[in-house]
Amino acid sequence: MENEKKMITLKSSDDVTFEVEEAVVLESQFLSHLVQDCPAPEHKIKEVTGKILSKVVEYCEKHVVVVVDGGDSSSSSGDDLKKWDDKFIKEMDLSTVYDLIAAANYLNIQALLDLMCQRVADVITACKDHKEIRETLGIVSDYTAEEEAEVLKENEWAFD
Amino acid sequence: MVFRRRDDFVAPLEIPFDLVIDILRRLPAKSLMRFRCVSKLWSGLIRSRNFSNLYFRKKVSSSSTSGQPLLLYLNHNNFVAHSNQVDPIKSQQLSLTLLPSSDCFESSTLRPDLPSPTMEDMGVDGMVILRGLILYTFCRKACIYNPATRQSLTLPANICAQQERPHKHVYYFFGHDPVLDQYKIVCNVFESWKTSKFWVFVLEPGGFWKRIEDDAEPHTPWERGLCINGVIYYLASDHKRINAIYCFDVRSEKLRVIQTPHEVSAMGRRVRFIEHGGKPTLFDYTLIKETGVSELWVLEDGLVGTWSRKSLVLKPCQRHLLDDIIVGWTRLHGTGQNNEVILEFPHRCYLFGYDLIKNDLRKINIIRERTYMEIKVMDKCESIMHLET
Repeated sequence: MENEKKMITLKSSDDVTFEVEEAVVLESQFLSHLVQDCPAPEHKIKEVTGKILSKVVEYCEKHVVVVVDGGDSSSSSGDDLKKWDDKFIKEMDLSTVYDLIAAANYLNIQALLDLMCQRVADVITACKDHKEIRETLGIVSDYTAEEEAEVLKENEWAFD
Repeated sequence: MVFRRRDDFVAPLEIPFDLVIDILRRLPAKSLMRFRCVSKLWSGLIRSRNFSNLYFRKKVSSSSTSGQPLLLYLNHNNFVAHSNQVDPIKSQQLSLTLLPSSDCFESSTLRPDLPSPTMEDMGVDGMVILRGLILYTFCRKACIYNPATRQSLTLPANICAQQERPHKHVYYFFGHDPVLDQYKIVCNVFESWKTSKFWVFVLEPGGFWKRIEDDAEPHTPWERGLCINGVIYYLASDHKRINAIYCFDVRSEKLRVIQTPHEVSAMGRRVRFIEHGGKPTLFDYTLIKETGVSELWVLEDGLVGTWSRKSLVLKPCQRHLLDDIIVGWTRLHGTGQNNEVILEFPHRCYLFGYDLIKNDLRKINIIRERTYMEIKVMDKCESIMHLET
């Protein structure tokens, strides 16, 4: 069994290579179609950098192991996985999160995409006011002073 | 529209727009309202009907296991002149979440949430809850309140209805047509068994009251109706004092009458209209204390009018729970998808929750002392729909 595991090489836009088991690749809908349609041993992913692809591979490897090992008694391993996910995102800065959102979207890995979107949502939720949201996300206001005063008054309750 | 890297304004990283939407619909309503203040562009998006529909669906699908939210009014003044009115100055308004409990003997308690937003001078008359919005009547006018955004809106006065003689009753019903995604408010002005007149207001910019010509016989509604799948159902009695179900189709604005099963049509029966398993259902609890038996009459095929009957018999070990109550003073509330009905008594410190699927009655202590209280069962929906006319 051990010997039959098929290995696939993924190459990032900046030519960093990752050798992974086929099962790991199957976590991504995009890659599983790619592997099926074109059975080459190496696949170049031009849209994703090595830094981000390493994160993607790390995530998929963790998740594939748990799904295979856990079988249907997944409640404890599900908790472990959640802890792992929490740790995985905790150490990440927002700009990496954005890159991972783009990568997960491109590679079609729904669970990773959900995790990353939720992370951004949590960051926004933690912002105590509109100024902090602007600063965190780099959004430039297009309100005039009067308009802003009005909308702030309308939503005053949301700032307590 | 992009989220930009904080350190890199020159070459912003673009997240596809649908993913930005996916992020925003994960935010709690309060956080979204803060987000509205960030920029006009975002405010416009958050206010759009498309976004509020996406947000609504997300919340509905994720809230199936959470507790049942209730609004509770406690009146600390012992004298209450009219049971339909709670004096807002002397009363306290709480919003509570009723947590699901599996243990049939232990009484579960309500967990106080955030105090619910004060609805200004609102006398809590004629409250109807639909898809996260609250319709209520104030000075014969219809008002809508969205607890998630704390926005309230008073509909333009229905001049014709205002001119009706003051002894005529004004009831407002609230409906949603899922096909056109329209909210409509129905104004029913009636004089008991003598006249019934209807107006409809489409909740949208430029909305106005439109008279509905209908040849339905004058009838007296017993409740404020319940909208299920585009039809507002309410129990009413006609001039012969026979109960029937009146069905207002929200899209076509036509009223139809469905005869109730003769077992429940007699006056004096304790019957409430609830949603059970997604279907309009009559719950007859007239004999629940005496015999432990209650009846569910499910309207199986919407407007055609075929009823199926299901009897529930209280578990013998739970019968004693009802020893102290007077069925005639009970108010009953359906909880929609929760399959539980709530039995409420004006001067008690507890409620009963009756799970109609598990046939399980539980006593729920909610306050320490006996006082006047009134509850409203909220639905689990959270809507951020911007209200405007």
